[in-house]
Amino acid sequence: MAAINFIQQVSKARNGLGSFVLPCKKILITYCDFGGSSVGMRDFLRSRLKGFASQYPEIEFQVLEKPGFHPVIKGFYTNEKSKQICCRKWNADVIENKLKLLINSTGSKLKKPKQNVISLNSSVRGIWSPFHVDPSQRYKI
Amino acid sequence: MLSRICGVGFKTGFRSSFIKAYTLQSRNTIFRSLHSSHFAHNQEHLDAERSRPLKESNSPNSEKINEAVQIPDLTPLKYEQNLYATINIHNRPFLVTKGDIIILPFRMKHADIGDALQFTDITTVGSRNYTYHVKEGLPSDAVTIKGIILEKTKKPMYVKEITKKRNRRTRHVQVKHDLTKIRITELKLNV
Repeated sequence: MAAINFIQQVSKARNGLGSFVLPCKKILITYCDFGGSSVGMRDFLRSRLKGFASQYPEIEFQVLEKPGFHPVIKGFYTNEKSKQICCRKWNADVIENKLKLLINSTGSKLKKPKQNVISLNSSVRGIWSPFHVDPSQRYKI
Repeated sequence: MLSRICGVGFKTGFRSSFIKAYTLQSRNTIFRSLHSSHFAHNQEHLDAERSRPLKESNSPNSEKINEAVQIPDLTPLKYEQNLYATINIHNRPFLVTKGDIIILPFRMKHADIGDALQFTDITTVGSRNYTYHVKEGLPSDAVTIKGIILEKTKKPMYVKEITKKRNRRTRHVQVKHDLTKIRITELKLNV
């Protein structure tokens, strides 16, 4: 009995088809307790962070004190990439908007899209072939 | 005003048209249960949304006109394996199959990522051998096309040179346009 040769295939991940997994899995917030550039960040951490983080239960929020440095927010994504934004001298509103920017991203590098529709499926109507054209429409030399 | 763009630009009329291409449906998954946005996600609010005059103004694709059209016999299409559809988002056509990603050149303000959308402005549904095409838009109960917002990113930053002919002064503007990526999760005939 001949062995069946199979072509191994890896499943192609299409987020959203079955279930949607939020690409941003962790956000690391670093701040300084003394520095003036961290004033807005401290205000955000005191008053806004708890409410904001409760809106995104899938994301792990880690707050780290890093004395002597500007406040930074860093997002970690499922494609093993990270994105960081320095929040020096920004107020709590701006920091919240930048956090939303991190959450809305997948972590991949910014690309200019060549096509508006990206598809893994082959074309439904098929590629045109001159041999499969109706005889009345054939090209006559 | 002449502007030499160092990349591809997009017409400004795009964003000004009414949002009539899609209606919103919330995904009542654990993911969205704690989310409280300015846009309510419950069904009553969505029905109220649909009846707002803004969406059903003199557009040729309003639901009233669509419901009056008879759906023809779609059984040949029904037995086909692969289907495609041409949906219009703000009157821009996108030829789409299930599982595709659409990249829209704007930031969708009314929905967050993970939210489900249903597309109502559909021009064509077809397969390899059959096509169902209505220029004004298919009847709303013929096909169901749903999507989910994957991501809201931006294009890479480029510098746009704004100048006029025979004027040496050139103004440089940094431009970073928005993008919204939507995955088509469902494309099926309701026949």
